[in-house]
Amino acid sequence: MFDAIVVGSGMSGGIAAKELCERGLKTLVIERGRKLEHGASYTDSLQPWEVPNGGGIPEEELARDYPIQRQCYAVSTATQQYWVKDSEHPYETPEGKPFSWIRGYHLGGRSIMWGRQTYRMSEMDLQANALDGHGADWPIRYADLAPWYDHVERFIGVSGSREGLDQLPDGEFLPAMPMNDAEKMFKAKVEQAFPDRKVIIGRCAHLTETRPHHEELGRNPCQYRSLCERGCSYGAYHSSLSSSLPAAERTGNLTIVTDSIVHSVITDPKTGKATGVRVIDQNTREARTYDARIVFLCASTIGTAQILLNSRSDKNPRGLANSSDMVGRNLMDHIYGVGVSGTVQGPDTYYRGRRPNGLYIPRFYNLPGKQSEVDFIRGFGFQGAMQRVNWRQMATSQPGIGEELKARVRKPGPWMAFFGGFGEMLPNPDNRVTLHASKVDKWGIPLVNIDCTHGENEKKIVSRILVDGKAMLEAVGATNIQVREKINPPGLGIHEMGTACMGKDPRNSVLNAYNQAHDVPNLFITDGAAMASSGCQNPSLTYMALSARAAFHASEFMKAGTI
Amino acid sequence: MQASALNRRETLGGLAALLGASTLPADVLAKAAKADVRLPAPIQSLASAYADTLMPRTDTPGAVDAGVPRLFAALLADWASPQTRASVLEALQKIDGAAGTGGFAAKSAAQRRAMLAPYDQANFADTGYRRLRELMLVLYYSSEPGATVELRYEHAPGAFEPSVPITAQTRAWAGAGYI
Repeated sequence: MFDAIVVGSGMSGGIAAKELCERGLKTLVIERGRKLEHGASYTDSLQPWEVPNGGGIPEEELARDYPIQRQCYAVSTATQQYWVKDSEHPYETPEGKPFSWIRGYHLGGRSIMWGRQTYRMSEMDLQANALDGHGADWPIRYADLAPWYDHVERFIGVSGSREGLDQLPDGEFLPAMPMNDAEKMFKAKVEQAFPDRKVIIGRCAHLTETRPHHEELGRNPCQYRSLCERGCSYGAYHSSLSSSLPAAERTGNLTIVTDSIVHSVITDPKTGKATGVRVIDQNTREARTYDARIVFLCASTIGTAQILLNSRSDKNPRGLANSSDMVGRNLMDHIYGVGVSGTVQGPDTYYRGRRPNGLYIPRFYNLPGKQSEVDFIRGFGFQGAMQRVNWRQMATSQPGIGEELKARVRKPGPWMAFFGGFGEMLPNPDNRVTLHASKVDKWGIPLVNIDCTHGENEKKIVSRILVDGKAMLEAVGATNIQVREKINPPGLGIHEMGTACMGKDPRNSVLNAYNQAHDVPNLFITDGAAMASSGCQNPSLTYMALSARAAFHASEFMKAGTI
Repeated sequence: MQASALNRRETLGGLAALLGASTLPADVLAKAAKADVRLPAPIQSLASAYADTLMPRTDTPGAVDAGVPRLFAALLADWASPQTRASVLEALQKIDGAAGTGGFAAKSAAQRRAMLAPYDQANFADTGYRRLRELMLVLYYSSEPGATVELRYEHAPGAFEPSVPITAQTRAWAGAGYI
């Protein structure tokens, strides 16, 4: 019998485990995938000439085993071990409504391959549902989250600049990474041409300097390699393996089991409370149960919904914690993939080192107190960078041979700017995860059916991203402007959210203000599933803040004997 | 020139024989067995001649010095789908055909250069040719000589210096771009 079970060892589960362990709870983390070791399992030592096939996964294998995962930019032979084989982990989507579900099943989950961009949501984001009526009103506001953002930022280490923007609150930052000369020029010109826009350096979960509490965990400063998605042996970016799980481990309160797929949450029919979870061993398919006084689901947005829906019983025929019928609904991702690039005349300088971070242009439409100038609600931000065209494009985008070609590629290329929009997707109950009526995976667990599509508001945001992106590049004098108009299928932003939303009203939400299931007082959900709206900021920091906050309240409730 | 280039795949097969097959794990043996998948000699010489003309030895190593022809053969065996392999090999053979009597590989370096420069321009839009060219170039610039002697590469720069003056000696960075 454990005090707490945490299902999932990724971004949210790692922080939930750390916080619960540090509060003295004997905690079991259950990971469905295999064990990975920080450092020993990574591929970051591979030199460019040591990467198998120059990075290319064999084409037939890619088509057979990774038709979905291959859509993610970070998939290569250097990172192949971190992605699921779609052929082994199928799911269903309706005809004509693709959803790209990008996953990694191993200890640490997607915290190993994440993009590391780290932003707070603001008061505006947490009020959005209440103001325009889409989705359930968040039961918390910025003031509830702010101390937990502080707490998590200090622990994980976030590099960034203080900007004083209401729509993107500042945090507890380590020194910001610098902009290169062309980016400084871009910032000056864009901010002059568009006074409502701010161009800032990205905020990222990298240690630009270490603090003693990072060093105690064996973490080192960023080496500017940009090999991050291979895993970082320096522990320079926050992941469960480099940071949260080691912190949990040193309390002496942590137990980890891997290769154990959670099938369902077990409840006591008399009390309605969770008593533990049922798991299936991924290798032997043997079934086991684990018992605990509280359960945290951090199995990722779709995985968590799958477990709840599969925790059916006579008492809860449509799944656990689902009296509202909201489990699986309001699935969101960020609008992603639409953007612009162009060649820009810039300063005659170069840079040294590969900065694993770009520029950010925070949301500038529909800000509180301003008259809306657009035909959509909510908004988007831009993410991008300026860098010199690299050898690959210099060599392959134009003809040429021999000595002349060598001379062309040898010199740093021209400056290029590229920016993509990350837009808010509205919560919509029809965007939904359900269980397949008959198909099961090789462990006998019903497949998920993901029915999710962009709506009218998202399409209007896409149009505006393109118009504004182009205008911005024109303002800096870009030539050869290329536009990527095609919106990616939802899912490919890899910011799935919303399938067990927080809310004030148990009739239209799954979780209360403490991420506690309205229906099951000792069940907490703190991954992306909890999100009542998506904002347009990269969401991991918010999952971590919610996880830490819920762990605090859960342990207080346990002490008080109320759960 | 190709004869002198060390064939890693042959070496691996030879290693298995040397150590005694039973001491090697199954996946290594499986990979070694695939070492039989080699390009026929005339196609291998053609690939070498093309790579050498595209990226010749100058004051820095060329594609052949960097082992690109054997890496190319390995890529076709280990990575390419049958369609890609066919299209890339067809592109190579078209170069050979356009070279006239005796074929491309038999010509002098100067003759190959004179023939390939306009051919490269004229066929740049051809998918198969573009792919062939790209594979050779990516292999060259990702190789150790390509990345570190022709270009510059630091595996762990240790810092980000945002403003470095460009001089006549400045070389482009190899490896991935940042972000």
